[in-house]
Amino acid sequence: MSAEGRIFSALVAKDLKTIWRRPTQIAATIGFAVLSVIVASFAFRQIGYTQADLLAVTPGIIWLVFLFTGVVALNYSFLPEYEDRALEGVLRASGSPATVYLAKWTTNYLFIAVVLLAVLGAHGLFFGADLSASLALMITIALITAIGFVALGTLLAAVAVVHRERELILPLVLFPLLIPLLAGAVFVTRELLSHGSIDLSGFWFVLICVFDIVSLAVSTVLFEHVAAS
Amino acid sequence: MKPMAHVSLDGVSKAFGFVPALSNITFKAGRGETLCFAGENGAGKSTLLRCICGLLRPDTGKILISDKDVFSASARRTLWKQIGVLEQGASFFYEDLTCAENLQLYAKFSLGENDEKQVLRVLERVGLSQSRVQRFRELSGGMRKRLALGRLLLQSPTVLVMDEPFAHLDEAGEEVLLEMIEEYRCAGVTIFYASHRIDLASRNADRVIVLEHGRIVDTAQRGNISSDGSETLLQ
Repeated sequence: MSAEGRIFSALVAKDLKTIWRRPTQIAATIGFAVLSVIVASFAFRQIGYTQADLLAVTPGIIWLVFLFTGVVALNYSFLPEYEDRALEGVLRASGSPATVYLAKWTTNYLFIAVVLLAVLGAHGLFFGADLSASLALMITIALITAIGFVALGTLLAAVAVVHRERELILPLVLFPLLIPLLAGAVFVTRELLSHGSIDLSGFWFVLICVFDIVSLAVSTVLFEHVAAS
Repeated sequence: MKPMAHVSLDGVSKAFGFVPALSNITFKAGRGETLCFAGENGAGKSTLLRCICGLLRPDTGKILISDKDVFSASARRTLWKQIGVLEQGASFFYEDLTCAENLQLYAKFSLGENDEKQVLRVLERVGLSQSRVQRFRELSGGMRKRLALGRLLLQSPTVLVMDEPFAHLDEAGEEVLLEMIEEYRCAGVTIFYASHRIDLASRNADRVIVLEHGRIVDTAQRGNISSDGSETLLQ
């Protein structure tokens, strides 16, 4: 295995261990996702929305809940790096900020994927809109959208973690940058729920893919400068 | 003939707001040389060490290691790996990982294969083999310092920067550290450390640089360092 590969796998293993040893973090994040869907169900389902109405608001609900829960997860992700300034040590000793970033992106992506499944599961259980016909495609869209979300989120979480008001700073900086991705995700999800399929060459799907590629590439390059400062 | 400078500082100044922390610091250190910075609290010792290892960018002046600017982009990728850092306020470890896991992570960066055996040897040497499965957050201050020494042992630094390395260490720990300093010195590593322990500095430092209000006010060569830490540091 190459040196970069060895460093990457060591960092991913370290992150997975760290997440596993903080079960309250996993429980709190998934609990937040489930509770948000339940609150949304009270806001819409309980006031007599029909199945068609519920399907119409589903894209917005899913992505809003995902956005808020994702920010909670990203905020947590850099806390172990900040305690005892571990990230500083790792960056210095590895000499490879891009590998450190990509390892962090990978574990954040895996965790966010679990969060996404929790959001979709909670939606199925509590919201009442029937997604079973398009669930596989729905999960695929969610996982593709998460690439860009985690790319930008990981970079900005590294910036926010050094601030005392990190819980506020991260969404304030991240959300405006995510508007194209969020809009794309909502439109593609709406298309899926209304037609049962998506147009892979359609504007919104292409926008999501381009956003993913650009944000991952730019964040990998910028992380070195973020880390240095 | 004077030894070639491995590390050189030229006109380094740093201020925090309007408070000057370092003023026009200039000196050179050769390979295998050990420099101790002495001075009262707030004299600028820690700030100077943080500048040397690239953790803090000075406002003016240049810091070169092997003729490379410590703050250049290429230095971040190559040079920083060669600088071993022992900080006072942080050990650069993960609180949820055990002693062995933390060292294994650092071993992966520098050693590659056979890192587990090496980690066990290092834990033995710093006296933490019994605590290898203890998580970092459960360690005492002295044990954390010992583990940080273990991290340095796994690296192959060419420059070693240590802030109050003897703090929190018991006598056995001090001996391990003094041995390490001697070994690194013999291997040609340039060592900088800040300490109030002039008695220990007199045993291993080639030069003691005395700082006051961010300025160098005195320098003593080996042999001229008083071991009692009194005001007669420079004779």
